[in-house]
Amino acid sequence: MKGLLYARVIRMKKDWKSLTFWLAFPFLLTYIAIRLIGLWGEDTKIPIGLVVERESQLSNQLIEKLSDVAYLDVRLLNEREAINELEKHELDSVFILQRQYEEAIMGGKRKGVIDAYSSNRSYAYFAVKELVTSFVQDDVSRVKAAYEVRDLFKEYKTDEKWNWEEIVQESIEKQETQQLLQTSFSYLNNESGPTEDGVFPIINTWGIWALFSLMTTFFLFDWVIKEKREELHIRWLFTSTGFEKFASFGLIIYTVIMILIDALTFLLLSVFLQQQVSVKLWLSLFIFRIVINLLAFLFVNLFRQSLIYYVGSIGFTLILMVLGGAIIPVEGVTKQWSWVENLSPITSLLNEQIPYVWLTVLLGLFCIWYWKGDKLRA
Amino acid sequence: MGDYTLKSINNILFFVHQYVKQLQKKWKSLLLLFIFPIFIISIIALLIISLVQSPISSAIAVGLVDDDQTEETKLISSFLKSSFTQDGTIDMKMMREDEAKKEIEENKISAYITLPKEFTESMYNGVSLTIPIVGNAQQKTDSLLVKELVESFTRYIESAQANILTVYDYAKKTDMTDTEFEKYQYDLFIEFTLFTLAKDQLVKEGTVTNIATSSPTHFFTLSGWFLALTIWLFGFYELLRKDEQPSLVTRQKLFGVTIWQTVLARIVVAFAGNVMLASMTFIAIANYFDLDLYWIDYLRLVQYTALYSLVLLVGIAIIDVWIRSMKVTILIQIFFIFLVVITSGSIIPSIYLPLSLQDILPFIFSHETFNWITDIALEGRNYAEYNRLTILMITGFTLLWLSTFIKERWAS
Repeated sequence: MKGLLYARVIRMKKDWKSLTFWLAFPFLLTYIAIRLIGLWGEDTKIPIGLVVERESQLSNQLIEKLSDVAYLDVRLLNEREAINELEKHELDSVFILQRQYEEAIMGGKRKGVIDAYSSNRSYAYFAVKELVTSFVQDDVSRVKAAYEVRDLFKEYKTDEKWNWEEIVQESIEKQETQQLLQTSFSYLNNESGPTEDGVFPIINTWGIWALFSLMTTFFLFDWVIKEKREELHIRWLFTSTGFEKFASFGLIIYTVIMILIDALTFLLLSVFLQQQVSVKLWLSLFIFRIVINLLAFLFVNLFRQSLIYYVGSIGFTLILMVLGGAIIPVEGVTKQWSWVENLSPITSLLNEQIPYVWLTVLLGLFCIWYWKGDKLRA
Repeated sequence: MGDYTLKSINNILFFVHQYVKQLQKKWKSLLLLFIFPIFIISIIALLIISLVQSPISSAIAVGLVDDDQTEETKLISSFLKSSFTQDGTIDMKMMREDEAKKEIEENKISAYITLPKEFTESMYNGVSLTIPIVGNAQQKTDSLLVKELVESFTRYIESAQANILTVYDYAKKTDMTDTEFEKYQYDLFIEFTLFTLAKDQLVKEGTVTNIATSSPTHFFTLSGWFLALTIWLFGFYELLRKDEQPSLVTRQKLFGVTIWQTVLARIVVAFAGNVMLASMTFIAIANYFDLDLYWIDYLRLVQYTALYSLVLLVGIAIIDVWIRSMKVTILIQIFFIFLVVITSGSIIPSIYLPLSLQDILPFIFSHETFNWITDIALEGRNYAEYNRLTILMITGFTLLWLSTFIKERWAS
């Protein structure tokens, strides 16, 4: 046992530089990636076309409000230009304010005051339409309130003077100063809120970490190939410990080291990126580490050439990422076929669960591998 | 000099031959390389389709918990329920909180919303109020969708409420009796709620379709092909890599073999293999979609694909020449390819890319190539221009040559 440990330490000492680099890699890259995605979100503006058929006070107000929205790039165009650009997919969507826009709203008529056009590649159309609707609805609703007050005054014949501006102002003030209605969001049985960034709700920090972590785990386990070289083969015939025992010991050592590094990584990520790590997530992350180490270990044993192994492991990582829902959510599929959840251990990680199926199957395969190797020697 | 050039060409031809032989030996890996991008892209397509279609085929199940149980909340609940159900995106059910929790645990609903105990009181008096939404961690996308919908809804109600409160203030100034006021309060509240729920009348919607690109399927199939092309190029180049012993390298050097010659041979073989796969798949796509293409269009597409492939291969090769560690090389090459793909606008249409990136997009070869390819293949564009890409390719090869030259000097 001591000898094994000693041999391992010597190996690691020899290439400690690359070892440190690869161990720190998931943290660094996850941090950089999340920051970049944040910057991307801030720097992305959705181009929309706004067509004003006749200028009015209300239409100008609407233009101003929309221009104030940070994530919109409002372009004032005429109808032909706007539709043309939309056809060429240079705009996300086009909104046309009718000629009678102001009269209609002031008259309390709101049906179809805005025409909205989208193309078959408009990704943000739904959200932008909601936003425009809410701005116009604000105006319509205030007009309604003002008329409501006028009717009141008529009915009760008060001495108060009915003043349109005053009522609208009061309503705006109420809406802006008092936070009347808010929402809070949380998942059931989970103290931490949703961990998404505003613009990219699907992208999950742990999903990104899983990507880099998987890649480095595969890369780090190339020691198995080095130990298995033809020239070294003869060595195992003369030692008291077989290759299987030696390699399994290496696996355990690497797993222990990686778990420690992971713990550090999660702590750092939770500090730097304000990610909350619940107890369930900790557990899920550690089991995930054990699963991917077993996976990398068994996978590398299939190869003789390190180059093919690297390329293969990148392909494998990509497949696991896609199947795991880290790039595109798999929920659409899992709703119909729930077994899809078991195709990648990343699904369990993202759901803060434990990948029992993977753990059992991999442990089983590991035992078979160990036992078979022992048999061969005997 | 003439002798030297001849020898150099001979060497390159020799390595081309070697690499082709190497590829033939690796036919299993080649088959995998061919299938892999198609496999990955099909999975992605399947996921996207199922994600986009799932709300239509099955509405998101949401629970509504009414803790207040007043006349008003009952009315609001039924309004909400019918309004959402009409949309078809959300299937709302009334339930008690413990039922809702159980249904989330059994994965039956995606989220539940609670109208808190003091809901009506607060609404009438303008007291700040929070509506809790509880999501189902097993259905994150749907939960977040519910969150967005409810948030947009509360924005409408908030705006309506500001108006209601304003009218209440004015009503108090009149000589209304208390009982009259109470009734008025209720009526107005309901009226505004109904008015708010009918906000969708505001917008008349229409879709614009460009006939040539009538379906996004065409566009995204081409995107997929472009992505596959890029992965194939990388795969071919990597499969041609050899674990070369230093002793062999020295021996080769003595025979006048330079890095430039081996790298060039690799590029030639990878390029040829890729052209084969790419044209096969493209012809399959063009036939399947009945794309209206003439031979000149094919010629142009081949030229663009060829230029793109060469520039990409040169980029990969330059990284290869400069970095010693194999793992780091592969890693940086992957980042390079990732950037090339993102900026091409094939996965994420370029209008959704960051503004600072959009300014430099026209100068990026992948973006230029992809635009030309979609224009020619889908929009029937009858014009082509290769100057910039050709210049880039020549510059790339010069840089690569310089790199190998410097590297060789350095090493010796």
